[in-house]
Amino acid sequence: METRAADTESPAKVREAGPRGAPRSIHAPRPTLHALRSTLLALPTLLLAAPVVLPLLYLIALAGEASATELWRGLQRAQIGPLIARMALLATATTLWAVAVGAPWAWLVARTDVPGRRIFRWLGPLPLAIPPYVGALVYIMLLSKGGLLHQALAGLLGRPATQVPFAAPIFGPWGAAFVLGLFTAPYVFLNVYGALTRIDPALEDAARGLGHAPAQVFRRVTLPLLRPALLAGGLLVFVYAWVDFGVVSLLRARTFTTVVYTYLLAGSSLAAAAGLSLVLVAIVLGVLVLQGRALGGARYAGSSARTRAVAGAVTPLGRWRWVALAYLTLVTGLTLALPLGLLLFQALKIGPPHAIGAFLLEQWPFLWNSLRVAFAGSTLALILAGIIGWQGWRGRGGRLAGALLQTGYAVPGTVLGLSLVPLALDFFPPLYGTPLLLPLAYLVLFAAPTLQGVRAALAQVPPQMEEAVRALGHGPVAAAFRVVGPLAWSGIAGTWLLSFVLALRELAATIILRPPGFDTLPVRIWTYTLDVGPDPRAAAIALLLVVLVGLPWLILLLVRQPGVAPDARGEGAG
Amino acid sequence: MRRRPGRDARRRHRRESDPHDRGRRDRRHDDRRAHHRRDDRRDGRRGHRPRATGTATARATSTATRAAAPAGAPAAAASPVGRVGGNLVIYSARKEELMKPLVEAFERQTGVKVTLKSGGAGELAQLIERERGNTLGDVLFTTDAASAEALRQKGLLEPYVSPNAAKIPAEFKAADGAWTGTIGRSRNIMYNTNLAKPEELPKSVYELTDPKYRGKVAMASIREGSVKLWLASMIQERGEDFTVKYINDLKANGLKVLANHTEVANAVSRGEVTYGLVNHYYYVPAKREGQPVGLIYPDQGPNEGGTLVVPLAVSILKGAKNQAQARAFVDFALSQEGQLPLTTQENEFPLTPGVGLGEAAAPGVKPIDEIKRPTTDYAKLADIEKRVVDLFTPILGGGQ
Repeated sequence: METRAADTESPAKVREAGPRGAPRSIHAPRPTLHALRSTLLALPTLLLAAPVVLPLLYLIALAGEASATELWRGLQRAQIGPLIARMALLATATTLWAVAVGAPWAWLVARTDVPGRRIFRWLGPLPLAIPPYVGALVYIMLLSKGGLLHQALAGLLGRPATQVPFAAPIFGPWGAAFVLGLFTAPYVFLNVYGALTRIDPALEDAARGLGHAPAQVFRRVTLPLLRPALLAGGLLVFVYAWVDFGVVSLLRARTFTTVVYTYLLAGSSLAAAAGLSLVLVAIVLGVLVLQGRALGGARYAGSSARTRAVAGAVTPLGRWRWVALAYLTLVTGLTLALPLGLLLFQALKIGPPHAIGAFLLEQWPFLWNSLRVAFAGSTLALILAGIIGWQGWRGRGGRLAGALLQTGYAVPGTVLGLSLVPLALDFFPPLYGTPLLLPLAYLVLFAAPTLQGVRAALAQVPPQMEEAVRALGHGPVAAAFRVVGPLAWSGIAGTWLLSFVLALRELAATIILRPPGFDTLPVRIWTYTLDVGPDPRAAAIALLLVVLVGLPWLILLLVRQPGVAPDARGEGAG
Repeated sequence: MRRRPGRDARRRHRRESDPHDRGRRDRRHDDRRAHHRRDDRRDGRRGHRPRATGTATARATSTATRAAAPAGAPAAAASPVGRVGGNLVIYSARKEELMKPLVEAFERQTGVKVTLKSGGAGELAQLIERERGNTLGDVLFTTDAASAEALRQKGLLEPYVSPNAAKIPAEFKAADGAWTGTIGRSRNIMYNTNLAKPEELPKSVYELTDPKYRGKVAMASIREGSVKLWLASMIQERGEDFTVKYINDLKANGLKVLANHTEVANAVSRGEVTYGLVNHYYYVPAKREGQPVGLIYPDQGPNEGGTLVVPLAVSILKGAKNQAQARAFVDFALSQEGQLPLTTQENEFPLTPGVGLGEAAAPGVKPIDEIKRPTTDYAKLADIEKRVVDLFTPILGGGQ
């Protein structure tokens, strides 16, 4: 896109820039001037990335409070090597599991005649409404020793639970990978499903016309076309596993984020915690860079991809339909029916309906807090990502700013909290101790996915469209509103909703950053789970949060064509 | 914005100087300096709020004498705490759920609206250090008296000798009143009565490294203030090498390190582990719920060192904005009615010798007089605790 910017630069402007930008380089090749000029143009956009970059820089400053040898000793004491190895294993297992759940799900509902495909297609993105740490809570209630399953087993045998042997398979890294994979699978689903609906059916038709069997078409055409989507979804999950805090804490897996949190709570030096955090951030950044490399070439701007979610050829499954149905029932059971049912079952233990009602009413302030900060955070993120994405789309830089914004994604909530508290305390005292830090944190955490969403929405609009409108004499703003707006609007709204939902359920940074007395629903769930035990009250609040997060999703799904996920399509609002 | 509605307007004052680089300077440099500039900085933080100007000068001049005689102090804080009104922010290392009964009783009695900030004992201590007297909190209520002592040494606590503190033994309070122990808890072994064989019950925490307890023991992570204190006390008593070896042996013996004491107590109740190293009051609710749990007072034999008894420490923060309420809270926490919620519900015991738990005591819980325990010197423990954090944070962080 930068090259396009250079190409469309008017010669007059280049001449203007020449003497100022590079006074002695009369013989300098023009592209240098162009590059310089576009860099200058990008500067304001770059500044927009400051809220994301500052906490990261401050993390380095915090680590700098200790000497290099101290830091190194601290890392050694924390057994950094084995920790990285275990984390890599955890993240890989999580990713494989999420792909195993999400990808077949997407393919089955998009391309096969599995019974109930419309319903399952519909349900695909819904587990996103269940925060993974709520999933962890559910599976702790179900599978831990002395949990529901253990008790049911003991009941069947007619013996006290302590006499019934029961291995608690849910705690530890494998349990964490199981839960994380299950509840991040929708990311894979959305990516793969979106890709499946964007694949030009003509390509597959051609392969079929050349005499390929359906399996061959899938392997030689569909799968390669899905590769970017699988990679994108998989890497999203992979990164998620590295930065997650809630699930691994509740399921007692030792990870970077839990270690950092322990350092914080134990009152260890912030430098040691910051040192550990930097290692984590560096690793995640590395993964993100690799991701950028791997996905760099994948850009969709084909006309058929843009206009309408297309139905590819349906593969008849024959007798396998029922196996497929069983599979879909199982995964929707594990990710939706079971969590919701169990939460409800546990919540009802609080007492008679009026007691539950009274308890839920008590949660109103926390709910209101959650809504406020999430709304502010996702809106901030959209504004920022919108400007940067728009600049990028028009070829006005924004690439570096976008890359900087992406670094926010590499900062786990725990680490962000660790950095933002002293940062606010030292440099932005009016912010310290106010809820304003929370939207800022959400901005940092969710600007990257928001930018991706904005870019994806804009990518559906061919750049020529804007040029055409501009050529008709309209200004850039008019072009934005007349062409890009209508075409990208729904994608952008979906993006906002996604970051709103993510902010609504954010736990790790919120725990650390919330000012005294300002709890959000996730914090309440956390408190009841860890400080009281997997309590019915935790279940009730979790249910409340799930409904709260799920409602916007449902509404969005309902007002649109059924079965099309908000992220997975790029057509105009209709 | 965190609001403290109705906060005393007298406590806001004009921004007479508003150095832009104040944060950096304060963070890096010494305590004494922070002491002098406290008022300016606090005001700068509230920059967006309307400013009351009437008493600004008076307040500014009083800065130097604040430590000795904080403005806005109640005329007299007699033993029964009366109505005070206003607001109070408590930094509490005690879990919110356990803190609530005390806070609610205080709110009922005084009409003060309390805002809690719950966190790790170490986390709060470090935050208070970072805040450098510019704190959002008024009161620190911590499970780790050594960290309170460390804050006292750094001049971050406002000394206040409550009239109700007279009966608290000197061991459990700072002489200058910077922190005062309110109520006691002991370190115990809690066990599952269905799983533990009576003949195998350990008599000492040091027995738990024995292979027969392999994989059967859990303790809380170092996020818990009382764990740090326990380790510090062990180091004081038996030395660093011994303590490190002991913990490593426990880990080698399959010790489960869980996030906090609640998790440990739940793990014992549910039968996930047989033995849990906890504070005694985690046993009480489980016992009352009818869980199959028992309580061991370890190391009580004639040649043994006893088990640690630690106080919950209350203190007023330097720069606390609600001094009157903070003092009222300290008085209340030390008063009989203030201790009632803690003694009746969790059986935490009064530190005053001769005062037992009476009928409130759950079966198996002992008052302080009946517990053999090492004496504690919090000035020393505060020093040792820094070492504890360095040594044990990496290995007692919890998680598998």
